[in-house]
This record gives sequence, structure tokens and C-alpha cells, in this order.
Amino acid sequence: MTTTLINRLKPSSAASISSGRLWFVMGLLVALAVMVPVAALGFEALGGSMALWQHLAAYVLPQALIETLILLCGVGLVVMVVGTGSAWLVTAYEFPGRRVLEWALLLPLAVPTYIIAYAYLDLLHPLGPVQGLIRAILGYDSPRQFRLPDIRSMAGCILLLGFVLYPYVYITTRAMFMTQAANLVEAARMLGVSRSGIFFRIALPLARPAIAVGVSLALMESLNDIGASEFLGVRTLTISVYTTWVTRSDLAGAAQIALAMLMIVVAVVAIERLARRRQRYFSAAKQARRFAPLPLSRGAGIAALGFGLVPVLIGFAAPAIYLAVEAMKRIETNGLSTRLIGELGNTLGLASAATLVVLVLGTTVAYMARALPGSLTQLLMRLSTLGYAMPGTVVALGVLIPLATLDGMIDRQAQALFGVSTGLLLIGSGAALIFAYAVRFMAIAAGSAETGFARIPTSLDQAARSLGRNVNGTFFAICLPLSRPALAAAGLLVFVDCMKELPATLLLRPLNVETLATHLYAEAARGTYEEAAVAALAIVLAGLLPVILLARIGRR
Amino acid sequence: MARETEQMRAKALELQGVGKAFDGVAALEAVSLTLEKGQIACLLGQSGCGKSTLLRLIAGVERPDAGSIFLDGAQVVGPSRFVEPEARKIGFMFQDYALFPHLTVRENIAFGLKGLPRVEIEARVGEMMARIGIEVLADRHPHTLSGGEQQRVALARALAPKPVLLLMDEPFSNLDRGLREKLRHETLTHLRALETTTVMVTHDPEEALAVGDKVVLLRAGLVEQEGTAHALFDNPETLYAAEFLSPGTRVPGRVVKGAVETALGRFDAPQGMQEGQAAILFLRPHALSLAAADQPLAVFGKLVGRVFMGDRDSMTVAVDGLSEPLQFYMRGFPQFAQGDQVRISIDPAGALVYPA
Repeated sequence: MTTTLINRLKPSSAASISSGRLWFVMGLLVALAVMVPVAALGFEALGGSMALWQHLAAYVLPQALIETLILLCGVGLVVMVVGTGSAWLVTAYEFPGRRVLEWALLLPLAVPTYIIAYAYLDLLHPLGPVQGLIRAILGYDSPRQFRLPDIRSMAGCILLLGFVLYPYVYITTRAMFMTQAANLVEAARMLGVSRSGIFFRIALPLARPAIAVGVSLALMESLNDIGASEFLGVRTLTISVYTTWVTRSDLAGAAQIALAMLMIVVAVVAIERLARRRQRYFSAAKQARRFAPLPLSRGAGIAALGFGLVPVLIGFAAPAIYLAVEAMKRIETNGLSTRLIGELGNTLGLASAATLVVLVLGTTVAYMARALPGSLTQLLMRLSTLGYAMPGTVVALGVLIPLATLDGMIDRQAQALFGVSTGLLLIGSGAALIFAYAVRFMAIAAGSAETGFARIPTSLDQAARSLGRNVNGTFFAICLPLSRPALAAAGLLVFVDCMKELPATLLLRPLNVETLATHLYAEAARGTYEEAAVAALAIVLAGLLPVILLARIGRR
Repeated sequence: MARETEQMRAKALELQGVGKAFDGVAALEAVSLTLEKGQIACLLGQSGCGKSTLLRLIAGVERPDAGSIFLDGAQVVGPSRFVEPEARKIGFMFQDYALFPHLTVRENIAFGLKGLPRVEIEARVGEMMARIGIEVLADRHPHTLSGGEQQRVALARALAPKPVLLLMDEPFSNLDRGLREKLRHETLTHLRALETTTVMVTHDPEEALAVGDKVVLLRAGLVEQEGTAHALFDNPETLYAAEFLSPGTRVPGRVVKGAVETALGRFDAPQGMQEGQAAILFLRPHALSLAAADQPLAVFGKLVGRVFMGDRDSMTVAVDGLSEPLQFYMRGFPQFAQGDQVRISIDPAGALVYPA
């Protein structure tokens, strides 16, 4: 079937026999490569022993499933309330500091879940600065007399994840409020709805699809998280996959849990897709006019600012300041260790290589869909971006299974032919990890390239072709130069996401290669607090770059 | 065999039974068309009639489901042949001009000349800019140009590679009325001077009649009528063609004793109409005028509307027995005001009769 489809796309003139077809073949390969991990998981899970499965189904899965669902519900609730509330606050009211708050509310995006957990474990330690301050104010002098509830709990995990993930809801909901609400709010007020009634009667129902999209993105991040839940003692499915694999060395069992996890992912993605479709419907009556915020009195304004600053404080300022202080202390006494500098090099090297791969392949897929429009190329494009919803552990597992087999084959061949052992060539060289990054972040590059291309009228492509350029030439002369800003932004996003990535890195990095993220994980897991603060600070600083980008786009 | 090839060569463009469907809905059905070298053809029709699709099929940015296309005697589309757009040597002017925003005017015009020696490119670009009169714009970017300037640059870019055929998709529709006529005239002058075979798409009958050596009226994917501008306007073969090319009033009638009998009198029936068959008399404004008292073929009516339009007045006259009033234009006759009884004469040469 595929060959007939290729033949139908095949141009028959000598001038471009390769150009159009080449893009299609590349797109097909990318889509297949992204599907490999899922296929491998299914294969491995089916091949696993039933005895182990029974053990998993009886003792591991139910608890992990329940914990995961509680975590997702909790995080969903927190991000919904905090994200929607803060979006409404900065859209509907005018108060001193509102413009700063508008972008400051994005800052927690820079803090990965495992870093906020790491920071708060120390910040809220019974002997740490926060509890010490409270005791000093209340006049107690021993943790025995007064202590806060332990952060290492489900509630603690929900709160911490919620306060770094709410910006997903904030971004989508705020965009909806700004583009949609103005006219409708005016209409509603003329129909007699009070200012305060507008939020519940107009804004909230209107923003429902946007909220659902934001929440589903936050839930995907929660599912992906491995550090926070581990440090805070919540045994989620991700943790179960990890321990079943690493501690019990049971690959098949891990694959089985991973598949169970994919079911949840499918449900979350379904919510997202459904919501996006409805959002399109809502956006049909697009109005460019912006919402006019209501000026608040002085006192109310200060209260609004204080209220709006709470999520920024919890999700960004407190952990960032803590990390900065700890990192400074460490650097003052010990300097920067060569080990940490080496890890920084590893991190940057892996992230750069992955960014290059992802950008090239993502752009290829997006251009294929543009140059050869049709349902088949659209499908290939969608397939190649599926990885964005898959948790890092699942991707890592799906990548490891086929690549380990391949490594074994290469090794045997090399020994037979040249008498040399190549060892684990793909995993040892980091190629496996870059593959996993590519699967996970392809959607960012392909999506950005698609949006970038969409801004170029197709008449430009057709003009270039009528002036003698083939599919290839049109890409390099027109589409690439005109979408450069979008591709640069995509590169930045992918790069930083690779730097921050923990679960796949943890599982697929070459032996004895540490990155900033895995260093931090190792120290936090051991309970030692040495150079991790420096590593964490570096990751947060890198994470600020895309936030700045996002804030600039938002202002335009 | 040799004679056949020669005949082919004389034709700049030939379409044979070209068809195209989108998602099972036919956009074009078995369209055939030939164009001599240097001729200008206008594809005319309502939006959705398939005229732009036909243009895109000729350009090669869309593939037909059936039929063949020959360019300069060589087949570019056929049952087992498809020449990619970049290999067809066709110039295309888009409705939005499609100037490359990241390139200057000079670079835009040079875009289609890639592969030539640099000196030749420079000479050709210079020559094109001089001919069209846009040398002063050479180093500007498209977004700094006015609509008219963009149109000129687009024309220069399309003509620079000396295409065998120029295709234009509503090239003047983005311009104001006054500028549109000026640029249309300018463009035509260049095309005639360069003897460029051209196919232009438009929805404006006035434009098609003014520009085309040949006008092709399309309706729902089929050629309704094809011919010179005069032939099309003077002898529209169908009521649809007549109504598309000019406004007018429909008057119902019936064939009685070899002529069509209507409330306005008897008119010659076209050949092939049966006795007793229902017919429609289509009266265009220019067939009607206010009559002197002694003229034959005149009817009485009541002037129900008179609107001053500057160079003429629009008259609306209700006639007993007609459901629709008659509409026409006159100059003078200040004595008639709304409500007055008037006599109208009908020029039988301008009266078109069609089967109902």
C-alpha cells in the first residue's frame, strides 16, 4: 500500500525526481522512528512472564495507579485554581505592578519539578530556615515543640507540582481572556450582569477549553516527573517503572507498567485534543480588541498585587533565592569542582547534539507536510509529534529495548568480522539518549516549524516553483529564510528542555556520564547537599531563557 | 505526422479534456481550449467556477485527474506524464503578487534567472526594470511598496525569464478602481509588445471583455461559451452567459406561430424552438430607450424610478403585464419625472431570446 502511495506522490519529470520524494521518505522515516519505542514496549510487555505480571498486578500496580491518580487530580485542581485565578487577576483588573506580574507569573516555568522538590526539602526541613523563622516568631526553641506537617507527603507533592506547573493554565487561559472576552463582557454588562458576576457567567465558561488544554499539559508534566515524587515519597507509576527496571532488573515488568501508564497518557491527550477542537470553535469569532481592565483603588490594588505574587513567590522566588544562596556559599568555600564543570560540558554537549537532530528532523517533517499536502503526509506529521505526551521513563524504556538488542548485534558482528568488541555502541555513545530526546521533543520543533511555515503564503512557494525552483530549492530559497525566527525559538526551547530532562537522561546516559540533572538527582536521592545547588541554579538560569522568550511573545 | 507537429507548434497552449475533482466533487469537467502564440485569453466566471483551478493546473501546482496539456507543442500533462511546475517555463502572477518579502525588488526579479551568468542576469533585470519603469525601486523591499508598485514588480519578475506563457490570477483585483484601469492598460501594452501568450483569470466581465482576444466563460467546471469579446457579448448562447455579461430584465413569453409572444410584443424566435414552447426574452439596458411618439415596437409604461448617476440617469419603468420593471439608462429628457407615463422603444437587435 505504501508503495502505491509513494508512486502517486512521485513526480515524473527528470528535474525533480528526487526532491519531492526525498522529503516524503525522510518524513516517513522520522514517523517510523518515533513509533519504534511504543512498538518495542508492546512487544516486550507481551513477551514478559505472566508470573511477574501477576505479582505486579497484585502488589505494585493498584497502589501506584491510585497514587498516580490522586496526584493527577490534586495537581489538576491546584493548577486550575491558581492558573485561572492569576490569569483573571491580571486581565480584569488594573493595579500597580500588574505589568510586572503579567510576566512574573510565567517564572515558575523555569523551575523543573525535581528542582522545586529538592529546594523545598531543605527549605522546609524541621531545622531549615522557614520552620526556624516560624519558631523564632512564635517563641519556641525546639522542633519538638512545633513543626509544620512534613513536606514529604502526597499533599506536599501536589502543592509543589501545582505551583510550578500552573503557568500552563495561566498562559492558555489568559490568551483566551484577552482575545475573546472583551466584546462578550461588554455585551453581558449591557444585559445587566454585574462586574463580579462576569467571571462566573462569562469568563469561566468561555475559558473552559483553554483551561482544559492547560491542565492536560500540566498533567503530562506530572506524569513525566520522576524526581519530585521520588524525593517526596510518592510512589507513582513512573517510580514503579523505574524501580521495576533498575532495582529488580525486570524489563518486561517495567514495560507492562509503562503500557498501563500510556493508557492514562492517551486519556489526557484525548482531553487536550477535544478541548483544542472546542477552542477553535470558540475562536471562530475572533476579535482583536483587547480587554480593558478595571482600575482598583489603592488598598485593593496592593492586595491584588500581594495575592498575585504568592504563586511567583512559592513557585519561583523562594526556591531560586535559596538555590542562589546555597550555590554562592558552596562556590565561596570550595570553588567550582572540575567534576561539575565536566558535567556542565556533558549537559551542553548532549543538549546541543539533540537540538540539532530535533530541529533538522522536525523542520523536515513540517516542510514535507507543506510541500506535499495530503492526508498521508498530515498523518506522518502527527505521528512524528506523538512523543510530547509520553513520559520520559516510557520513552527511555521503549528506546532501550530495541537499541540494546541492536548494540548486541553490532557487537557480535564486529567480533566475528574484526575480532573487536564494540561494547554498547549506541547506548555508550549517547546516541540512544539523543534518540529519546528526539522522540520526546520532536513536537516542539515540528510544531514551531509548522507555525512558522503557515505564516508564509503558499503563493510564495508556487511563485518560486513557477520561477524554476524545485521542492528543495523552494525550501532553501523561501521557506527556510522566512521561518528562521520560529526555528531559532524552537531550537532554544528544545535545547533548554533537553538540559532540564531528568527521567530519560537518568535511564539512558552512557555509563559514568553525569549531567547537571542526574548529579542533582543522585545527591538528592542520597540526601547529601553538596554541589547540587550549583547544578540546580544552572538549570534554572537556563530555564529562564525560554520564559523570557515567551514573555516577549505575549507582549506583542 | 510532420504536419501534425507543425500544427502543434503554432499553438502556445492546448488543453484537451482536462478534468479535476476535489474530494469527489468535480471542479472542472473535460475542459478543452487552444491559444495561439501571442494571444491573450481571459478565463471568466463566478468564484468557484473552476477558473483558478484551471490556471493552477496549467501552472502545474495542481495535478489534473484527466486530460492532457500541451505547452508550445510539448506535452506537459498526460496520462503518464507530469512536468513539475519549475520545468514548465511558465510565468505566474498571483492575486497577492507573492513577492518574496526577504528579497529586494532586484533580487525578486532575478529569482527566476538562476543558472545564467551573472552579467546576463544583471542585464536582463536592468532591461526588465527599465521596460516596466521601476528602476528607482531596485533596492527596496516589497513591504515598502504601494499596491501598484508591487503589481509592476510582480509583472517584471514573471516576465524576466521570458516565459512561454504568462498566467495571471485576478492581477488587478487588489487595486483601486482608477489605478486598476491604468495598470491594466500598462500591463497589456507590455504583453503586446513582448508578444507574450497570456491566460488571465477574472470575475469581472468588463475586464475580460476589455483585455481578452479570447474570452472563456466557465460555469461550474464547464466551458459555457468561448469566443472573441464581441462574439461573446453580442451573441451569448445561453441565458446564463447573457446575464453574466450584462444586467437586464427577463420577460416571459411563448412561441406562437414562429415568433415569441410577450407582454412587450412579438420577437423572432431562435432556430430550433418548438411551437408553444415557453421562452425568456432577455432585455439589456442598451436595447431600451425612451421613444418618440411615432416609433413602432413601442410600449407604454410608468416611470417608477429615476436616479441621477452623473453622466446618465438610471430609469426604472413598470409595464402592465410584467412582474419585473424594465431597467435602462438615458441622458436628457428632463421633462419626465417619477410617476409619469412614458413610451419605451425596444431595439430588436438587442433583444435576446432563450428557451425557458
